[in-house]
Amino acid sequence: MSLHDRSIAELAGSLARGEFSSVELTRHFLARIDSLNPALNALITVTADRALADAAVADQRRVAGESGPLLGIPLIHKDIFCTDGVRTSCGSRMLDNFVAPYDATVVGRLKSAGAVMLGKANMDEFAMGSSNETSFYGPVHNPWELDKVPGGSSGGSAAAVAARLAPLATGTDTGGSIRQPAALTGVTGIKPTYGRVSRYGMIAFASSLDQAGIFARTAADAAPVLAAIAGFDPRDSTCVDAPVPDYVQGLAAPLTGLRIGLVKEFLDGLEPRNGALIGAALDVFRELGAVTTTVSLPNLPLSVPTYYVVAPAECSSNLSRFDGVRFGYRCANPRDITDLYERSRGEGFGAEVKRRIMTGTYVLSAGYFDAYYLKAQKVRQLITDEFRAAFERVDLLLGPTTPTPAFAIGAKIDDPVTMYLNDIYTIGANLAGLPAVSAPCGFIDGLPMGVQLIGPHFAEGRLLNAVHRYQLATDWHRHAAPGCA
Amino acid sequence: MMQDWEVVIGLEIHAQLATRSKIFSGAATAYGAAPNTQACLVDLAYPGVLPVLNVEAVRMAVKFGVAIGARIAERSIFARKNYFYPDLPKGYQISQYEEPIVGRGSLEIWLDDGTAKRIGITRAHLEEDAGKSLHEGLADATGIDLNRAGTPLLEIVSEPDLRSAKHT
Repeated sequence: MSLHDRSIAELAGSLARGEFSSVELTRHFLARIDSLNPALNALITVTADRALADAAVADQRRVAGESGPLLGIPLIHKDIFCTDGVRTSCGSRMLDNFVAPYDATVVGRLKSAGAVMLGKANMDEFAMGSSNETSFYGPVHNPWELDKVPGGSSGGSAAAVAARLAPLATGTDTGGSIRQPAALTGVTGIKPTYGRVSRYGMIAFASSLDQAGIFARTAADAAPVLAAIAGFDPRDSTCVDAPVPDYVQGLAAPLTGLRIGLVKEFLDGLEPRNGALIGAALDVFRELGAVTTTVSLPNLPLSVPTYYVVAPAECSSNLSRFDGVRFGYRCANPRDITDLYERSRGEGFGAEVKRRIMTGTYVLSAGYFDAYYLKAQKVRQLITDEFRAAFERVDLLLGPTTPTPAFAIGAKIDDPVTMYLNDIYTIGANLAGLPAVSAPCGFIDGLPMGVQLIGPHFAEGRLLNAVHRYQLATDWHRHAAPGCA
Repeated sequence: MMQDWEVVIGLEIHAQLATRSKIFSGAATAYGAAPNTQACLVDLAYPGVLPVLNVEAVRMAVKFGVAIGARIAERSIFARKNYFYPDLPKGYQISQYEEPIVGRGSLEIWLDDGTAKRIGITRAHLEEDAGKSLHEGLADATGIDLNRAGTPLLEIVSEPDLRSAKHT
């Protein structure tokens, strides 16, 4: 079996036994990036020299007696995470020249665990998009069909793992930006509970929704990564000081008696082939011993309009710091301070970011705050309460991740409302701060689809356990995109 | 003319709290340092950084609240005041609007005639200071010094209870 088809546990085992070194493993993946990335555009920056140096350090650490599930394992970081000494663009012209002077907590923890960064993944500009088409660096191509989008905003991370350019990638999920691209590229993506993973060093989009997470081919691969990045960080006051369970240990538990609720609102109007895949996934969970029931969350259909008030409001404030004064893009020859602001921001930001800044500024403005932002926060609370009530009856909720498989590049980019509806099934978990995962569950027209599981707060272990048992019983996650085997 | 008018004064005081570090970062607050030598990544509003509240600033605000017999909020909210200005690195000031840390209280002052007068304090809230724009000695430019950015302030608002400049 090729190196890039092996699981994290297999790679770690081989490294431990000295079958190959981290430098050799890193060279293998760098070579794949060289040959496959030009067609995919999944990476904005490849840090080959640094990766080989870090791999050599990992090999030395192993010689010195260290071990660990990620020691010497290559990965790719979404370009939203600050990486010390490496350009951190956030997919924007605004930060094309920005070299971060520090590591995000997620980056630092993975570095400490010995993981080797191969490069920085392409993404929608400032994580605003569902197709990776808003990136300043151009669209990412879906490895399954190059004229299709990989989803977004973590489209580069998803495409990279799907094409086996790396066994792992980090991502962020504000409204579905891990789960939706995971589904559309046939990989496993987990968005942890809000507060489970530090947001320090992750460039803010919507602070009350943003959460760092992981792309991997399987839940078993994701488990040690989540264990490495989860846990309290004194530099993020919203990061919760709760013990981190042993996610790897918990993978194998039987699902006997696990109560899974099928979300009624997700099934209403679901495309029949999508519905059949979700039904089949549910059958697998039943065979594994789960007990299934239907659960209704009547206000869940309001998730998309609620999100598109809350998220733009927060982004309009968070992106104020990009003013051309201290870092990032500055317009040429500003006449005065107003000109500096207007042209730096006008030239530095792309259309989708500007649309959201304008929407957000409007809903926060005097006279409209109560009607839009405050009302959205009230609906958000109702949705959160409905999830809480549901989790008194069931252990996990199940539904589709996306309404359709990957669509063509260019098909929806001029119609923001249609684009926003891609996130109809994923946004609820963000509004309520819940952990959720998408796992491959089949194909429509040759393109991968995902099943989504949502858990109560801090139930990441239960989610990984359920997906792992599902992946032991199915082989959807084993399919490789054509040309990427 | 003054005889026809009653002097009514209310004060809004921005008191700097004598903490060693800033309200949301670990940078020093000492006075007189060279420009921009006491501004860390949080004060500079670098991408990805987050504020962490200085417990000492909270302790001092609470002390003030107790001294004026005010209700101390057990749940207090910080809010962003958004505006663009070159010495405001984040594009917003972190301040308090709803649920300030110190609620209604009062202060007694002694007048010249030996009687006591009670001055109502409406509220006091925590906020961060902005930086400084420098114009002196710069011909065609404005300098920015962010040493002050993030200095903890307690904004104390009084009732319009003062009736003379002597009362202030």
